[in-house]
Amino acid sequence: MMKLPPWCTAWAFAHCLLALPAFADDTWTDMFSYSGFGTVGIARSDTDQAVWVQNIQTYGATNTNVDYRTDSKLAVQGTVTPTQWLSGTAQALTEERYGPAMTTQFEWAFVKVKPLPDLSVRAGRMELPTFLVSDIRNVGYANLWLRAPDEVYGQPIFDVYTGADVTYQHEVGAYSLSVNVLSGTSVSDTELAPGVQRRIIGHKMLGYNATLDLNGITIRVSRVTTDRTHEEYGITYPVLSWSFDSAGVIYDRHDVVIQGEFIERRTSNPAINVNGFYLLGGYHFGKWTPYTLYSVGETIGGADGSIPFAGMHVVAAGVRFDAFKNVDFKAQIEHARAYQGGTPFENQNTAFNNNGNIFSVVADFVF
Amino acid sequence: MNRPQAQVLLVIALGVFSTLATSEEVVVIVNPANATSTMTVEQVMQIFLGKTNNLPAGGNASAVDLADGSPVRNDFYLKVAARSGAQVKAVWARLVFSGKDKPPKVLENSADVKKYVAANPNGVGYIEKSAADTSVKIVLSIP
Repeated sequence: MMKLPPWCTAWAFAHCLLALPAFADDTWTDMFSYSGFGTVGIARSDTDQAVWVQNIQTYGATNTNVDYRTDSKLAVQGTVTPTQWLSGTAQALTEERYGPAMTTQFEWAFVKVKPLPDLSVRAGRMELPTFLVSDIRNVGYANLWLRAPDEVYGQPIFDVYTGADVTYQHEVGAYSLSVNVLSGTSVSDTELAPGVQRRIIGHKMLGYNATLDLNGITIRVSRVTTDRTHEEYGITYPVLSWSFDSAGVIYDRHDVVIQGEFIERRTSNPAINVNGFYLLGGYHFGKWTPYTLYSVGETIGGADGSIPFAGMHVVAAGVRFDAFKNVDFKAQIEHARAYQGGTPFENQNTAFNNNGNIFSVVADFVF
Repeated sequence: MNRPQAQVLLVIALGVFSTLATSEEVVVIVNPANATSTMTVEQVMQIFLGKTNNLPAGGNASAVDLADGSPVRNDFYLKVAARSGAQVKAVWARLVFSGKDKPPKVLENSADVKKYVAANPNGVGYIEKSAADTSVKIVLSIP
């Protein structure tokens, strides 16, 4: 992982960037641009029998612990565009990952070349486009939901990769088709305990995706494949062939928003094969957008029934309020149900009934 | 219809007409030297919502926006894309933070937009019709 030193947070990075325009002239500001996004949020559950935790994060919410780490984050992005056909983009993100503190990493750092109006080629470290909204899942302001459903967006191990991709985009009238092909490698390092590392590598990663934009209706299909190796506590596990498929639709017209996605993870170990989906619906009443979300992620089990089910169901209702220029507020209540002691609940007491309600409030901003 | 009902209807009708009257015609402008002579609402929407940078007659569009909160800007996006200011911002947040595109340059007022478009062969902007003159070419009128 491209970890940054602790003193170099996205906030410090933002200050460096904000200082730049003070001595900028027009040419410089046209060539260089920066922007950022973030979320400040709290979550609390209604149970003390287990801790509600998202993704690989360490901390979570109970009925006595208000959790501010799950949703809070800050990112800064800078882009240099020396010519119309060449640009460079880097994004640093501070958020809670595995471990005791919020950490900052370069999410992306890539160079983009546009040799033809419809064609672009990128190389560097980029988001892995596994999902319908992989690239903006952290940008609360760009999404209707309070957070991306972990039942789907928490399933892969890999979020970013190092390599190259080619995108062809063609427009016909108000419609456009975009096809993207990528190749690369992804390395995910986690410090499980002081001095104890877990390293997961996606070798020979290949990805294909196509997006059809029909003026307010977006349809996307994608596939990512890789050979995955895994080292933990000095043990190297056998190579696992791994594939991830997604099909999703967004309808965003006449104040109605409907978004749905179905995903499949298939590997050479049937115990971790997963299906998942979510359905999100919302309606804009001026600055208010109430929404509801249902999401499921679960193992598909073995054909002989020898593999027990694991997974989670979440039903949520919330509202987004576009309060100020560049700032929204969201509130959400969700009911989460786990199978037999699994995610999203950890440190469960024996009396825990695998159900919990979680209340969250956030403010999202962009600058 | 009794008298109070008629009065209420009259008040509503006046309200609607006065709202319409304050919403001035917006025009999309390009540089007079640009080969593009007309644009459709869809073509304009695609450029201002970051779906394409290509001008109909060829060339990369250099689009310019009016400042946030400007009535002409709000009117333009409602008419062209049926989207509010916050919805347009969310669209651009998706494009910017996925590294796909950067939003149009923002200028303070219609005079600055006109000046920019007049000086840039690939400039595209929108202003209220009364602010347009021969230094720019109108390619679309949005009533």
